[in-house]
Order: sequence, then C-alpha cells, then structure tokens
Amino acid sequence: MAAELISGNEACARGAIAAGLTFFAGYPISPSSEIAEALARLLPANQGVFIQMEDEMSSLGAVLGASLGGAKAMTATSGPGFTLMQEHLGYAGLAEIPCVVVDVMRVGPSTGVPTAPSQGDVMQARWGSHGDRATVALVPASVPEIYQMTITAFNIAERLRTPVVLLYDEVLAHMRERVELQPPAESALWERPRASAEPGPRFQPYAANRELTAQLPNFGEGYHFHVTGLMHDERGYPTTDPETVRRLMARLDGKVEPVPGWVPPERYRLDDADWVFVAYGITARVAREAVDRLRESGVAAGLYRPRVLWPVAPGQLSEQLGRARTVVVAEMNQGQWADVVARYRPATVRVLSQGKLGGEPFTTEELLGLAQELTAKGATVL
Amino acid sequence: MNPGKALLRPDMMPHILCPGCGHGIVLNVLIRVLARRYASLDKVALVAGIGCSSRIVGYIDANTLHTTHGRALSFATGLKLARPDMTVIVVTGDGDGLGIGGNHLIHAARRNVDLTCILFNNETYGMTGGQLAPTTVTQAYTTTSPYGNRERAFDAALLATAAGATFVARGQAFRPDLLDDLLDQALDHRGFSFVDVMTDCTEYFGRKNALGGGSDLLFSQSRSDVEVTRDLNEWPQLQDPHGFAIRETLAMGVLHESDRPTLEAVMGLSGYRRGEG
Amino acid sequence: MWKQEIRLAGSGGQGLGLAAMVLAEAALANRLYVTTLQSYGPEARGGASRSDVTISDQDIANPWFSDPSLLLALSQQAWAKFGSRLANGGQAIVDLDLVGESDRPAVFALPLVRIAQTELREKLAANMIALGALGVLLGRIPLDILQASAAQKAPKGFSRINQEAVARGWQLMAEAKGGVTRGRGVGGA
Repeated sequence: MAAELISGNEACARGAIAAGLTFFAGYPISPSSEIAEALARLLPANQGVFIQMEDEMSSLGAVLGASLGGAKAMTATSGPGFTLMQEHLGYAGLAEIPCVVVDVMRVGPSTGVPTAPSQGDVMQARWGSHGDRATVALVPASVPEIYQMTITAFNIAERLRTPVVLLYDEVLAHMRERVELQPPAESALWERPRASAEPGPRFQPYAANRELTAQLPNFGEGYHFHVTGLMHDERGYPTTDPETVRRLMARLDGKVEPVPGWVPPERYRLDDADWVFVAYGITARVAREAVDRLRESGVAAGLYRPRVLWPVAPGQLSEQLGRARTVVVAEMNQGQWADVVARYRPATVRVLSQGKLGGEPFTTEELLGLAQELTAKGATVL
Repeated sequence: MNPGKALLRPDMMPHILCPGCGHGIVLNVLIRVLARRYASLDKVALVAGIGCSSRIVGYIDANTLHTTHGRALSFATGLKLARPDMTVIVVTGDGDGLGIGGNHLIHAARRNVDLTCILFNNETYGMTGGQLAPTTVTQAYTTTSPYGNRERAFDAALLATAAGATFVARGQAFRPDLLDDLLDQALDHRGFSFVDVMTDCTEYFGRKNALGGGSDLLFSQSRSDVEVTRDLNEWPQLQDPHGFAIRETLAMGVLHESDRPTLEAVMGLSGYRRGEG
Repeated sequence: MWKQEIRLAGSGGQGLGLAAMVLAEAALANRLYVTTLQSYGPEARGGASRSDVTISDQDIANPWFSDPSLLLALSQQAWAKFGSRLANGGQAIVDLDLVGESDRPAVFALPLVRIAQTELREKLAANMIALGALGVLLGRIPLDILQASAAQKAPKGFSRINQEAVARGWQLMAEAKGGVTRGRGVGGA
C-alpha cells in the first residue's frame, strides 16, 4: 500500500466504502460536508446509492429505510444536524436497524462556530434522543484511525443491529495526515445476524440471538413482519405491557456491553503513571505530547485514551486508572466525560476536569502549565 | 368474503380505529387492491408515519414499517432506492404528511421516486385528540381552535402537483369503488403517485363541529342531488349550526398526470423494473 | 526530534493551499512525518488564507499550533496577524513589496511576486518561488523532491513553470542566506 496524504473526512468516506457501504443519505453541513462530497463521487462507481436529502431527519430516515432493505448505510453531519437526527437515532436503537452516523463536532450550542473544532457532542451522543437507550459512540484520534474506526463502526452496527456514532472534531476532519490504507479482508467484515426461523405466521423478527440481538431479515426476502418505534414484543407488535418493555430495554442495553472490549483503549506510558491524562480525539494527541514532556522532567505521567465513549465499561475504567493518583480529564467541552470518569473512578484516585471552549484545541504548553500548577498545589498528593 | 381478508394480521386485532371512522373503509379498499394486484406481498412494503392512519399498515401482512411522525416518505425513499425491485407504498395522514412531514412530501414529489403515497385526510389530528390540522377548513372548531380556525387549509393535491408529483388524485371513503380505481391507477403509475383520500374523524372533528355520527359524516361527502362520477366529483359544502362553511368544495378523481423519468431510472439503479412487485 | 511548524499565510487566490499540499507531499516523499491544516469556511474564500504544515522526523502528536517556527507571509494583514507570533528561534519569509518594513534578524524579505511577474511572467508562480525559499530554511527536503511534487500537483499547463519557480526561490534564499543584502538578490529587477 502506498503512503498518501488524506484528510480525516476523506478517510471516513474511504473507510465506509472499504466496509461495504452501499447507501449514503445526507444534508450539507460544515465541517462534515467533504464526507458527502467524497461519497457522491465514490458510491455510484461502487454500485451504491448517494442521495442528498432535504434535511437531517430525512437523511437518517432514508438511511434506515435503505438499511431495512439490506444496504450498509450511513450518514454524516455536525452538531446542529446531529441534534435533528436524534429522533431517528432513538428509532434505530429501538427498532434495531444497523446504521453509522458520523458527527464531526464543531463549536455549539446553536450555530456556534461552524468552522471550529469542539468535543461538545459527547453527551448529545449519549442522551440526545428522548428516553433511555443504549448507545455506541467511537472516538478516533488520527486520520488512519478514522479509516479503521469507520470500518469498525459498520462491523458493530451490523453485528449488533444498532446505530453506531463516530465522533470526531473539525481538526481531525480537515487535517491531512499520512496513511497507508489497508482494505480489510472479507473475513474482517461482520455481517448482520440472519433469521434462523422460516417465514410464516409464527415468525418472530425480534427474537434475540445469543448476543441479545434481534434477527430481522431484510425487507423483500419473503418474510412478512412489522417494524415500529412503539415498544414491541418479539413479533414486533406494539405493546404497553410493562414487563415486556423492561425486558426489551434490558436486552438493548445488554447487547452493547461487549463493545468497549472489542475496541480497547490506548494505554500510553500508563503502567507506572501516577499522573494520568484522560483524553480522546484530537485532545489525546496533545496530551500524548504533554506526557512525553512531563516524563522528560521526571513526572510519571501517562495517557488513557478511550476509543469508545459509549457505552462505558466501568470495570475497565477503574482498573486502568487504579494505579493513578491524579487524573486530569482534558476535553474541549465543559467536562462531559469527566463526569463519567469521576463516577467510576477508584476511591483512591482524584479526578480533575479541564475543559477548553472557544474553538481552539489544547496546546501542549497549556497541559504542561496545568500539570505544573496542580503539582505546585500538591494535587498529586491526596 | 373480502378477497383482501387473507392479507390481514388477525393477531394484530382489534384495531385502534374508532367506530364510524372512515379509515377502515380505506384500509378495506387498499387490501382489496393489493389482493387483486399481487399474488404475494413478499416484495410489497407499506411504510407509515405516526397517527391513526399510519397504524393501519400494521394490520397488513407484508413488509410493514411504522416510522416516526412525518418521516415515512424519507424511510420509503431510502428503501426504494436500496431495493428498487420492491413496491413501496406510503400511508400517511394530513397532520403527518402535510404538517410535520410537509417538507418531505414536496421533496419526494420533486424527486419522482417510484412511490405511491396515500394520504388519509380527516382534517384533524385524531390520535392526539382532535387538534387543528393544516387541512382543517377555516372556521372549523377543534380542541386547539375553540373560537374557530383562523387559518387557511392546504389543498394537498394542488401542493403535490406543484411540487412535481407525476400522478395526483383525490378520492373519498364514501366511494370505495372509485377509490379502488384511483389506488389501482396510482400503483400502475411509474413515478411519485399521490392520492388524497377524504375520510372522517367522527369522534373529534365530527362531534366538535356538530356534524353528526359516522354515517352522517360519510354521507356528507356526497351531494345527494348529483351523481358522483369520477373526474367530476365534489366535496360538498357543509355548514356548522352557525351557518359557517365547514367543508369546502374539492375536486375529486385523477387531477394530474404527467410523464417524467423516475429518480431510480435516472440513477440507473440495477434491479429497477416497472410493474408488479 | 526534529520538527518544524510552518504557516503559509496571505490572501485568497495566492495559491497557498496548493503550496502547502506540495510541501506536504514532498515531505511525505522524503519519508518525513507530515500533517496539514487549512483555514476553512468563509475565511478560506476571498480574504485571508492560512495553511499550517507540520513536518517532523517522528510521529506528529499534535497537528495544531498557534506559534509557527517557520512563517511565510504574503500580505501585510498576514504579517500583522502572525509576525508577532513567531516561535522562539523561528524564521520568516515575507514578500518584499507586499509586506512593509520587517527589519528583524530572522526575517527574509524577498521580492517573490515581483520575480514571478518579471522573470517567470506568471504572477501566480509566487507561491512556488516562496516554497523553494522555504525549502532552504527547512533543510530537510532536497530541491528535486520539492520540484517533483510541485510538478505533480501543478494545475494543467503549470508543471514546468512550477518547477522553475521552485528552483528560482531556492536560489533566491540561498543567496539571501549567503549574506546578500536585501534587494540585490533580485534577478533582472
């Protein structure tokens, strides 16, 4: 594979094609539009369908319709559009329709700063849709990883029949970086589970397999079944029975639990670290540099970089941070994931939230300054 | 026996429709047409939004998809483009298709994807309790227009025509025979076909406007002194007890037909073929 | 570790985005690590243009920087905005005619646009002349690799002139660094 220089958004589009994408519907929005532009070019040449819809609701709606027809389908957007997609993210989760939704984060709320990076959609990815629901959100930190993780997002979406959100910021979207793209082997692509039962009046599309995942056939395969956003039983029929609703919700939660194990975190100089940065996406790259500099000056620093923000694996988190004394969660928001770390931290670990707003990434110097300031205050010692 | 009865899902019954509601008549017509046209519904999908009308797709034993409020056409567009071999029928209501989903309707019409959209028009939001709809005629009473509707109603057929639908018709629950023919023609049509079906909400709209029971409302769709014929049929003027016009005269029958390549054909999608699914 | 954080700043239409791509591809071809970031949105059309390129002999952790170690400024506005943000030990190249007095030791004022017009008869080639000059300050990418990249990325019909421009810029900076005082490096001007 030849080395080339491509942007994060282009890597995302090419990763999607490599994963077997056959349908994209989207609506233009900075800073994600290059994904749509690339796929408008690539999809028709790969026997796929590209369509620009009238808004973000219909974009994800079309993706879900196509997915039910058997397509590997995705859309891409940014914060304001992601907000409009929440309705159908909830729908896709409950009706168990595989899809990938890319959210290139920009400064919000509202129109905010459309061309500047942010990590402000972390909680929107988790709880943006009304009601309780299971969520899968992945966070790449480099252009090559965007390519790989787009493929992973499809794998998880198909295998668990769930929406998967890929979150990255404007800097990663537009930065060009060296990649050597390695298309995945056929065997590395996961397929959606197939119905094991025969068509007929007793067919139950929402009877789960061992991975707690429904086994809906695609539309048009001879099975007649009903898909709804109402709470439903295993036949897919609407129900208001509290016990059936509770069972369904528990199953949807349970099926995404293995995801953090499938996409493990990056542990950088963490083994003997007592000063740990927790950072993801673009911020993690800055933090990695800060860790090296701190190590040079004798501080036992390390980086814990989650690749999966949702669902959280509490055991994984507390185990990885167990040795640390001070944990600084650096993120370009007001501390959205810091709350998660604080919630699941071991009792001996002190967690500090360091947010940055305004549309500029952290600088290494800022993180070093923070470390010095906290060390001066004795923050590493409880 | 109704030849369409075998297409129903008996275990979904009882249905949610109120006594006297016109929607059941439309469902009846729809399953008759489906039974006549398709030996099997394996390749037929029915896609609906949210509301009383949208619930009826669940009663039909096919590939049925009950989506979100107003967005059925977007799901249907994706499904049809991914599976051009399937027949995709959209069932929506006036609030669903013209209110919250109005934008999707005009764009679906503009794109001319080969879908058939049946809009059950009862001039109100029935499922939520009889609120003002974009199709409620001026002066009519609803739970959110207690002093009478101050706004003008949409003409759904004109809207779809202007937006680029290539087949537009209007029928009534009162005339299942004519509706049968219109749905048949709509399914024959290659491109975006739209059928505005005037039905009734007895429980909310009828009662609120003192228009009588289900049969009164149904009969009000016909002018007693004029033979109802296709292409020349009118929604009768109906007045409330104060003499206000509740229903405006509307043209019935096939209102617009034109020939334009479908989006699937323009995209050159493999698997796309005309005719029965 | 060797690392340079390079900012190319000027006005829209000067081809600085292209110059950044040429530089980045040349770095890639020379087996260096490289990242680029460009101004985006309304900022990228019309008014100001900015492209950042980071080149290193090791994996680049952070592609974003505020203070460049190498700055190219092709407008007064760009110089006003970024001239004061030059990192410690940083160097800058400015256009002699477009940027007013900038008498600082590490600032090279070169008649980039003037040479493009008078010698190459193509004003748009100023970006490639600047690139050649930058190449000398970088010291890690040979001239022929820069030229090859410039030819490969050139718009139709610009391949040869781009290569010439890069070479001319290289020569210009070599002379400037060799102690030739400002202005005298100007070929036929």
